[in-house]
Amino acid sequence: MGARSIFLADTMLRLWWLKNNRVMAVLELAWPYTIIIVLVGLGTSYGSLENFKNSLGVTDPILYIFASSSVAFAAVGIIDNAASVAQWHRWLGTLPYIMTSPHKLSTYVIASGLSLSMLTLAMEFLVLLPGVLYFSGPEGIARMSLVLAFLLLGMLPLVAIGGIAAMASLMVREESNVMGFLNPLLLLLSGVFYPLKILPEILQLASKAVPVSYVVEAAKIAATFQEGLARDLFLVAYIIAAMILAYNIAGIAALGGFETIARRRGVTD
Amino acid sequence: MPEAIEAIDLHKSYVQREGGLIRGRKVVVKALQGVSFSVGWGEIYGLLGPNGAGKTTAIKIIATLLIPDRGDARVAGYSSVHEPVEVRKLIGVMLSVERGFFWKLSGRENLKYFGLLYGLSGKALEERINHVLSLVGLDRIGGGERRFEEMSLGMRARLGLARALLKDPPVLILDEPTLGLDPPSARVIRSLLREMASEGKSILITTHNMVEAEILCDRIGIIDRGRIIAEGSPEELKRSVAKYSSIYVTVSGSSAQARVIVDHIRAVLGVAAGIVGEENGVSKIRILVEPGEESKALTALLSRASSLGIRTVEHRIERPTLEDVFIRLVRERG
Ligand SMILES: Nc1ncnc2c1ncn2[C@@H]1O[C@H](COP(=O)(O)OP(=O)(O)OP(=O)(O)O)[C@@H](O)[C@H]1O
Ligand SMILES: [Mg+2]
Repeated sequence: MGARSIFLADTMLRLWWLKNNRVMAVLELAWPYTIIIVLVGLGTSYGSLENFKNSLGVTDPILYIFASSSVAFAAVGIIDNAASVAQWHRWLGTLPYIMTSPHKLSTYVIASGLSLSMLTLAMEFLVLLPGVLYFSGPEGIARMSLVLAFLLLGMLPLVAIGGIAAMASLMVREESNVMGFLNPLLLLLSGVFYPLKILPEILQLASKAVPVSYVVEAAKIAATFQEGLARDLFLVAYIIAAMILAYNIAGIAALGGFETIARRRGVTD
Repeated sequence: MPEAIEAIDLHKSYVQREGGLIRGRKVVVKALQGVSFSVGWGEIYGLLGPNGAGKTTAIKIIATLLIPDRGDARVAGYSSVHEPVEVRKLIGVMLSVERGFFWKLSGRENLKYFGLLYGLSGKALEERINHVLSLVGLDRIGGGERRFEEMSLGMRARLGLARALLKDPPVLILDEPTLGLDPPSARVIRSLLREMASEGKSILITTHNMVEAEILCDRIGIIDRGRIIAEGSPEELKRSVAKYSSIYVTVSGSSAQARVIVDHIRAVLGVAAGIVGEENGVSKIRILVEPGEESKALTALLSRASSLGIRTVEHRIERPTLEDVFIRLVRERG
């Protein structure tokens, strides 16, 4: 399918970009550790090991960093990523050449957003491997891989919303993600930074409709994984799979219409 | 075989906001008000017009980037409005000389990205990139390895053309491909376009450079305020506005001597001629001839003068230029 060639092209694009921007690349690879140093060394209001214990129930800081930041930058971030990909191309002036490729613009922004999210995930995973090995040994790696798998799965329910955010952002001719407000909301409802318990009941209920909540749930299970919990993990996986269908069927139908509106309005400049 | 490109009664308005959020009002700009033209295979067609005439808008519609309010565009018979996917397979597009690439990537990396996106890959893509780089002459000046941000405008234009040619499309759609280029760079682009046309590709360009339009285009549509106000080959356009070329000849001698020559020319060639000035012992003659008849008239005049023993000091032929056409037409409306 076409999405594959987009995925390949955009992953190459980002790797070339990193290769040609060494300082950027180093910073990008080093930041998880700087956060860990802050967390472990100082303990901040941004988050603390105590906080981490509350929300995930495990004391390995690496796993916490991986799960929480990846939820923010990859699983929820898919919406932001798809939108920023679109903005970036308009800003560069590359958008017309993307649009005259054989792919639908909405397919492109989704596939490119996914490539960006997955690359972020992969890089973070690789960078954190030595750390997790140090704190928790090979078992930590197994847990982290499990979390990774759920993060990847957990992105998928949101792809159509990401596509809509991207198309809508292009159409309003503003240089930001018009659905940017969704991001903090989803993070709040996912319970990744704060325990859900402290939210009002209505928001706790709403969080059940948010796919990312289940990613966080899965991360918790994976982090504390014991015999017999496999069933729970499968259950979470099924729920996410159902959400992939529920969220995307309507969303993808809507995207078809967006495509035409975008061409009617003109989105390349 | 259907025409390469057809624009059929294109209308397009933009809604612009003026003023602030509260007090602001909407202004409708009619960018195109019924534009029709067609481009044949192997032909270079130039849309020539002043700033804001609607050139880019027309190009975007044909290139499937924009849907018109009314009318349709066709590429090889496929509708740009309703069959964009088919049209995109057939066109190579260049919309801006100085942007449209990734600044931090080299020329080759940039081309590779778009090649992958366009469905090429592996060895075939590699070969294609080498081919287009050499076509536009970037390989000789190291343009493949240089980053886009470090390229001169001339190199960027060549890279833009290389991308447009990547799929080897039969139709090229180029918005001001030589804008801002120095004469040598512009010439490289023009000669490449000529070559492409001679291979049978159909090329649509926009420009407000008269000289370029005249030497490059087989046919020209002059567009102003969203309408095509004149169309034809450069020759036809020039003839439509200025029916005659002027020949000015300065001869030594009085106006009486010059008169003999003028009478002779009138009698022999049947064209309008007259004396337009006399001073310091020289006289200036002006002859009006149809375009294409200039050298014949000049030869007749010079030989008559020499047989009369009259010396010609200088001569000059003033042919109508496309600029005359443009200024006349665009001014008339403005
Ligand atoms: N996206 C847009 N939104 C609002 N108005 C626009 C938009 N694009 C173009 N216009 C307006 O439409 C008219 C035609 O613009 P267009 O870009 O097609 O002209 P052009 O002939 O390409 O001009 P130039 O020689 O300056 O490139 C202009 O008045 C322009 O201001
Ligand atoms: Mg323009």
